[in-house]
Formats: sequence, structure tokens, C-alpha cells
Amino acid sequence: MNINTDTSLSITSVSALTEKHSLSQSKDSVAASNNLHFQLTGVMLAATIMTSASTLPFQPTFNGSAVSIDVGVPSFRRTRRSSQAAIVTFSTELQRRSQSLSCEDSKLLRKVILSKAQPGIPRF
Amino acid sequence: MAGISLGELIKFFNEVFPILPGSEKPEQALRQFHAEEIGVIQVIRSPLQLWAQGDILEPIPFIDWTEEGEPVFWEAPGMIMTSTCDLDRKENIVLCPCLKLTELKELSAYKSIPENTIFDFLFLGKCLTGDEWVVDLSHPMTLPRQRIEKRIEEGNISRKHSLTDKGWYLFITKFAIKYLRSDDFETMNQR
Repeated sequence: MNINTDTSLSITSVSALTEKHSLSQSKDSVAASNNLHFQLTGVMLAATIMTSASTLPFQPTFNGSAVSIDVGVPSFRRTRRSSQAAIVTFSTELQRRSQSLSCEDSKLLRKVILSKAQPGIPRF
Repeated sequence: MAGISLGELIKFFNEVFPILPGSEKPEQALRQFHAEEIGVIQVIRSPLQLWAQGDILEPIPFIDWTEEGEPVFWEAPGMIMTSTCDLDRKENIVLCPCLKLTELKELSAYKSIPENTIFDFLFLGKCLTGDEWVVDLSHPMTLPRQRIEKRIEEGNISRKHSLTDKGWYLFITKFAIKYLRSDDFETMNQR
């Protein structure tokens, strides 16, 4: 499933639509809810990565490719923010471009695995 | 969500996580993990001093079942999925098998695997035997930590590689994409 990355900039309109239509299943509320759903996936990824952020090194992680964001804060915070932004951008874009393994490929993968079978189940 | 203003909720999330993707250059961020760049962006390195998430151990036993229900045992290098902080205090360790890329050449997705754009696989590049290797994220195996430690001590299991810093970021990204993708709309609607 692809993630629509264009939704991140439409937060205001999403909230307005969703609040206006409450729980009704009109097209607008469905679209808005779907939109929110995509955004929260981004938030989930961001949360995952934020959880890991405490281990980020002092220097930028994506040398030469991190998107630098000048937020006018001390360099340590700027470095963290820049690295995190690059990671989140990366993960969101990677997910948008990625695809699941087809059913046919999944069966072929299973064949590959089963072809490795060895006799018995040994002690471990 | 009854009783919660969605607008306020989104505003709150944006305040807590002010790093949602904007209009930066994803192309540039993505390209560094493509196969042709893998020699520049090192994903795998020699083992760290202490074992850590993403380490590759070899050999690791995996068990599957045939369509008839018969158990199938096989061995492969395994990548540790368990968080580093859990490796010394939890009873179980979860590993996923590593496969040679060439073993997957019958798959229609074969050419996309080195681009790391298939949910199920983490492409590592050349490591272990010198071939190109792939982690199959869909085949986790749980093993008792104490037995793995014992077999490492005895020399029956070797620690082959650890992830570099960038490799680890790629790993958690692929892991999150594989297991934390959102449900389809209909399913979410039923929750």
C-alpha cells in the first residue's frame, strides 16, 4: 500500500472536515478520515524514530545527504532535528515507493525456503 | 475518538513530533541506500564489541512446516531483531534468516530487492560469503537467549557482522514499514 506524502501539508483542512462531519460516513468524512489515517502513519514512523533519537550521534547521520534545517537553535538540537527530518523523509518516501511481495512471489520464496530443508530437528 | 477533537489531536502530535516530512529532497535521502551506492554507504561492519540488534549470527536454526504439516528444519545466517537493550535481560531472542540474493532470482520482484523497495526484504549488499545477501523479514524465529549465548561460547555460533549506524537506521525503517504499515481503510473503519 502506498502512502500519500502530500497529506502532511493539509492538516488544517483535514481537521476541519473531520470535526464538521463527526462520525457520519459522508464522502468528505471518509476522505478526511483516510487522510488522517495516512498522517498518523507518518506520526507512528516519526514516533518510532523519535524513540530511537536518543542514540543519534552528535554529528549528522546522513552526511552529504541530510536535509539541513536552520531552525535557529543551538547546533546540537539543529543536528538532531536535521538528521531526524532526513530519516522521516526517507522512511515515508521509501514506504511510498515500496510494494509488498506478490502472492506468487511469496509462494516462490516458500519453495526456496523448503528447498533448504535438512532431515530431522536437531538439539539446539 | 469520541470526545476528542481531531484537530487538537493532530496539533498535539505536530507539537510533540515537529519532524513530519515536508518538502525536502527524498530522492537524495533514498538514493544513498540503493544497491549502486551500497559500497559508499556501508550497511554492514565487523561485529561490535557486544552483541546488538541487527547483528548477524551463523548458523541459526529455523523451523517451518510443509503444506502437509510436516516440520522442516533448515539453517541460515540470522539477523537479530530483538532490541539491543533486551539482549541481556530477556529470555528469548528473535532472528530473521539471511538469504543469498541469487536464491531469489525466480521472484518477479528480484530486481527491486537491491533497491530495498520490497516490504519483506532488507537488502544488505555483499557480506558473509562475499555474495549479496538479503534478510527475509517475514520468517522470524524465536530462540532461547541462554542457548545462543552458550553456543557462541562453545564456538558453534559465530557473530559475523553488526550494522553500521546508517545500516541500523535502514533496518528500523524497513522493520517499521514491514510491520507498522497502517491497516486498509475498511479494516480501520471496523476497529
